[in-house]
Amino acid sequence: MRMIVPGLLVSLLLCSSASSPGSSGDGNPFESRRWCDLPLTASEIPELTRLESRALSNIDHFWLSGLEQLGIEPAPEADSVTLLRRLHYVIAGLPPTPAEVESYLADSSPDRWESRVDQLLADPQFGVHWGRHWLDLVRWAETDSYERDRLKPGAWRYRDWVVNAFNSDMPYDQFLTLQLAGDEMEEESLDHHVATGFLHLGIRDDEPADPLQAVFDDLDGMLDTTCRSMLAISMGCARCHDHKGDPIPARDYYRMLSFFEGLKPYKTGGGNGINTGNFVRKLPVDLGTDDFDRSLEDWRRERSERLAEVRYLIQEVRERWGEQPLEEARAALWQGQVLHLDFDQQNQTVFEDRETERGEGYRGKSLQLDQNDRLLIDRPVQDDFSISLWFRTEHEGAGGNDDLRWFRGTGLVDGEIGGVVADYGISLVGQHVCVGVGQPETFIHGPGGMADGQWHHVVFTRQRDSGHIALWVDGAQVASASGGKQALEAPEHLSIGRMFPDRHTLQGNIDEIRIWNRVLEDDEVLDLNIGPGALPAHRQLVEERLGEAESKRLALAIERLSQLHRPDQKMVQVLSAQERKNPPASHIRIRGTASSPGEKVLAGFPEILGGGDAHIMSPSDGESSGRRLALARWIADPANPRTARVISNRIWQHLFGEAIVPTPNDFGKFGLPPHDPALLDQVALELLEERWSLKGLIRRLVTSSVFKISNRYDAVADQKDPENQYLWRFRGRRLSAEELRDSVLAISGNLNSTRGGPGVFPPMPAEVLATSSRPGAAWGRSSVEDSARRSLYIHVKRSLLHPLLLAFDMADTDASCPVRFNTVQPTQALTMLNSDFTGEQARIFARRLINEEESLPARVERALYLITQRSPTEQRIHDNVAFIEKIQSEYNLDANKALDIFCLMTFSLNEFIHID
Amino acid sequence: MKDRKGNRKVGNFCGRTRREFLWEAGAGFTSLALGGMLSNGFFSSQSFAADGSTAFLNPMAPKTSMIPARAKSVIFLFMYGGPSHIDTFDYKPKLYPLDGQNIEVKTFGRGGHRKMGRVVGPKWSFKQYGECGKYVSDLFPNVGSMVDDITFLHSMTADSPLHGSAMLMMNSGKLLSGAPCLGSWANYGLGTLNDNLPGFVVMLDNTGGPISGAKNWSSGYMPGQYQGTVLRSQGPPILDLEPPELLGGGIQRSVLDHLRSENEAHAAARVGNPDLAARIASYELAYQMQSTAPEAVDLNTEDEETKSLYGIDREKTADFGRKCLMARRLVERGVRFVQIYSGGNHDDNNWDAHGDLKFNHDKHAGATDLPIAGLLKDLKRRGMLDETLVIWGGEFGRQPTAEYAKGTGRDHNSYGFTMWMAGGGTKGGTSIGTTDELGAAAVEEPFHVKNLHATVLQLMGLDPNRLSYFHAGLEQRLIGVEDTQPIWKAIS
Repeated sequence: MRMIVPGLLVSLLLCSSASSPGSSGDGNPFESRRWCDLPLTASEIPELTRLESRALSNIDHFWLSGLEQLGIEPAPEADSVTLLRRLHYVIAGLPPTPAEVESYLADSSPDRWESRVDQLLADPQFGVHWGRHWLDLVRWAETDSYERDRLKPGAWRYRDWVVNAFNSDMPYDQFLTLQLAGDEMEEESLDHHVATGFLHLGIRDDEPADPLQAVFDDLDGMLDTTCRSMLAISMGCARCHDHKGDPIPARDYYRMLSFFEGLKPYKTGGGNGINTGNFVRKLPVDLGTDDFDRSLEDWRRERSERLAEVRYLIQEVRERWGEQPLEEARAALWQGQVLHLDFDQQNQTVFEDRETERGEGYRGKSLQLDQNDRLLIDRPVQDDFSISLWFRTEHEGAGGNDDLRWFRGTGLVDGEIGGVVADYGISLVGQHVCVGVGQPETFIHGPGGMADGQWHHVVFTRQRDSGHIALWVDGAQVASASGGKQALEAPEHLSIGRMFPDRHTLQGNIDEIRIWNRVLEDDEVLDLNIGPGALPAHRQLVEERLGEAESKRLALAIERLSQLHRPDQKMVQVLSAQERKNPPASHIRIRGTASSPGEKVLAGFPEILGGGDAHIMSPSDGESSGRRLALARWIADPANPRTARVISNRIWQHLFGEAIVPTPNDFGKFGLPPHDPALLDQVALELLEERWSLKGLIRRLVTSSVFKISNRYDAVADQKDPENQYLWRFRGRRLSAEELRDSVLAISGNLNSTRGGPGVFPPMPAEVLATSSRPGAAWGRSSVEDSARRSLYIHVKRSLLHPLLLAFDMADTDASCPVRFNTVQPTQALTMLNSDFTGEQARIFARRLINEEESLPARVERALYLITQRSPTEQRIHDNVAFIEKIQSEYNLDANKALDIFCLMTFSLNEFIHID
Repeated sequence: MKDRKGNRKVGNFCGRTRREFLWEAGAGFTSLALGGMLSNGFFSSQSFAADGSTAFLNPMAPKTSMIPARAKSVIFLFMYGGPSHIDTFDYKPKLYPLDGQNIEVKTFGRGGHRKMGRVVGPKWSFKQYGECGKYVSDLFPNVGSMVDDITFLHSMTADSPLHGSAMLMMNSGKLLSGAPCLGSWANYGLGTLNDNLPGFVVMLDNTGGPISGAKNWSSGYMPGQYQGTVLRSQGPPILDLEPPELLGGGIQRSVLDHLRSENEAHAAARVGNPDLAARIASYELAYQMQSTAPEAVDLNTEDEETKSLYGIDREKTADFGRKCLMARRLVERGVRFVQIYSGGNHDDNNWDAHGDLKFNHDKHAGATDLPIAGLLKDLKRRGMLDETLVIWGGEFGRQPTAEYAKGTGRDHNSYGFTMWMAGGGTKGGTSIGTTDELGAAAVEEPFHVKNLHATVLQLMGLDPNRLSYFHAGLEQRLIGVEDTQPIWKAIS
């Protein structure tokens, strides 16, 4: 028998100890625990009397039983368009298109609602919308805050991972586990590392006054966010002293903190430097799959087979007639060669030699470089040229693997001069060979995987007349482009193995540098790559000595070889967890002061949830302690009384406007109690029945009767339940900041629904840029198309937030945000009426109307239909046409401008901004 | 529980319910929350406003102060970068002869912790001013003439000598970003006196904002209406305030009238949704702001003598002078908290004199001395100084020793520095606290930034130890966990 108590009495009951389901009786070990720390209890499905006919699901029974006991009648079912609009917004965050409305209304099948629900849950825009809900909780942003507000490398990959997790309906237990300990899972994949970006999303001071305290502030951010988002425990309150509201001693805090203490710190040294390597990994895109290894193996096999054929034929010639005819056939290859450095003798002509050594070469000896070594030669060419070299290194070049511009890298043969000038060079950027010319800046690059300790052959050619540049790696052409056509005379010298401005030295070897004042042919490049045999003269030689059939065989093998491309391996930067070798012992920090260690503690769980030490097993790769995985397993355990309740409560919140526990980040005494704990338990149990499938739970809820009621006002119900806790009517709400901006774009017809990738930079008003300490460098510039992406993809810079999103109460970026503020402010009206964004979108919207409809009344009708998803009444069309005509004549406007103004007005219609 | 004026009677949490606090902590309840914003009658909000034309009641409507208020408004002149106290207001005669000598002195700044340093003697001479005979350096002769109205706090300390966290500390009381700023707290505690103007206004240097940008006027975990509004001294003062060309020439009024009729028809069919009425009203308020805000910052109605008083007629001081005069006009119109930045961007564009102290401080003091004195004089002659608290200072001071082997640049110093206050119930003609003979650290009556914040709240009629905001499970306070006393000696 459930007890339903109206109004505030509920909170009194819940604050006393024994009001929870299943907690009656003597000697119950859970007696002193709050409802949310007791195991989930299946209550009997309540029987209904009056309202039985309204129930479609078990959840409806719980909902309606509350209303029955209060004697309140729920609102009737809302009309089809209201429901459809509501559904589209709560699932995808966008209004239904006219086609989507029409197809729904035309559908006469009894399950049209269910099929639309399924259709929307399968739409990838679902993940864009729901991913944002999660990002609110984890204070996702792409920079660190403070003076430099540094970019968090690859933070966008975490955002994409979240979106994809929602779209693929990743079970929620796995979703949590990967974020806490993806790197500690047995199975390795790029996504598992990306998920642990969760740990690195907080604010981070790169120049803290107290470095040790800053390390603990960072750890506190991880623990507190974990506890609030996953368990609705305000753990941070127990950092300095025992929790003032909940039975959480400071000891529990530090036992929980211990799970994170193995992580490498953001910074270790003084100054404002940080240890990016401690929280960013460079990983192959296809990590965890063997795609790259397999394709590299295929390439090697194929290449060695073709090479064997060539060498077999050439060897025939060599054995019978000696090396001389083969080399003679190469005579034409050396034409135009102006320089050859083989590094076999010490005294080769160089301009400057600083500490270089000789090592084992590709042929004979090679140039061996380290640290500050430098070798300069006079620039030998500037018009047509070809440069050939071999290099070998185990170290990635400078500049990372994301921005492949030659001058960012480690020099191989380089003449980079700062600024846009006529220069050129070859470098290793990350794992890629890159070449380029200046004025205009033109860059091309080869495949990744070059820093593998093997010898690689590089040829860079440039033709002045056409401006054509090309790059060959290991005998195959991998890229070409068109650059400037002037003489490349800016560098006086070329630097070997180091960037010309005297930085970024190769740590490795370079050999056989050859430079020509002409452009080499494909087969000449291949000949240099595989040794004599690839030139037309060689085919002729073979034909003369071994016959036509063998010559054709050679030609075929050469052709195949020149087409074989080394597979590309893309490396990416990933914000991810990394632990130090020996995690330190954990201590209570007295009064929260990092420098005052107290009693030693072991990683373990809060007493309110049963306590106990963690069972920690180190993963087999030995790279981490296994502590976080132990925490993740405990949180994701279906027996954890909080986890399923917390997420179920949030799902309810996002569907119904307010959660059952209205403080979704705090189930403790400082939060508010649920008006109906049995309802929450029922929802949580249904989530477990769905095996943690969030889509499954959402489907159950939106196909229930409770989701479909209208928001009709009822004075009697209002008196009995003025806060509408029992949902006697649907809670209307304003669109969120993102929904509002995305809807304006969608209705204007230029929303770009592309998903994923780095953040975009829509135009930022100059007034806002002026607030940055570096107004000129504060914000990027995206294309018009990218600027029309969904708001989720706008770059989140903590010190410079998007003004429209800010005006409409976007989530706080510095702390976990469980519920958005929902304010009404005059600045919002100013934004809607006067901002560049709405003005521009109004014009685009008007153009759309002009394209789609002929007459003014038809355009007005279309506009109102797009804005409200309803056909306006004749009267309303008439009123709006009259308004347009009135301003047109009164202010002497042309018809297009009057329509622009009308369109701008429609964005401020409450019918657009609010959902019923 | 309302009195006849509709004000909520005092309960716990300065007259607000726990539920209300929880809503503000983020537990928003959509329409209910909006109802709360429409009236102090939080629980009755569902049943009024059914007429669809309820007037917009500003969520920042004035509240009764907790204790008797001395200051109605604050003008915080923020010398970003950290002005050198020993070259401005903290006279250290023994430092001059030590110039160039290596001495033992403990410092902590950008260059880390040091035990020794080469003294840089003060680069300006000091003179006595006023009846109180206060020594002020030649950088501030005009401010010097006002010392009898000024209360100097020579023993200020802060937790960080590094810009990023020190700026946050001076503005929000916390080293970590995400907390509301002093101006947010003042507006949260008191509400605004003018519906048509923002209650917390920030004016930035022309070279750009301070580091961390908007974090320095953020409302942190409080809702958006408490965040600082950036006001520009040229062009439209507030972002999106001016109607675009599309709505120019009076068209906007026609649009608003039509919009209102559309939205009223929509609301009429939706009884019991007070948020709809609130939004209708917010458009009218925005419309009023468009005329009141430009008027508030329009200096054309000021006479030449006044402009000259602020240095607006001289190139060097015109910009800061304009901002100071705008600040007076804003305060006259009821704006609670105005913050003006001297210095922005990086390096010598602000007071951060790491290289050439003389060049740097001549530049910034030269641009601000006359306007600041003008502001004090103008406030005083208009009888406004009594209820306007003017604060001067940076996020920290500077060290007595050089940062580098050569040059006169000084590193940051949070162990001891000077700030001053004038008006708004402060004593005037007084100096409180001291630093040591070198000016390296506070020795007598050291005060923390928190004491300064407590003093500001106290003067504004807010009990610094009771003004709290429920967030993340805690009663958050500007002054932090420990109770903090105002600087009583500064209060008249």
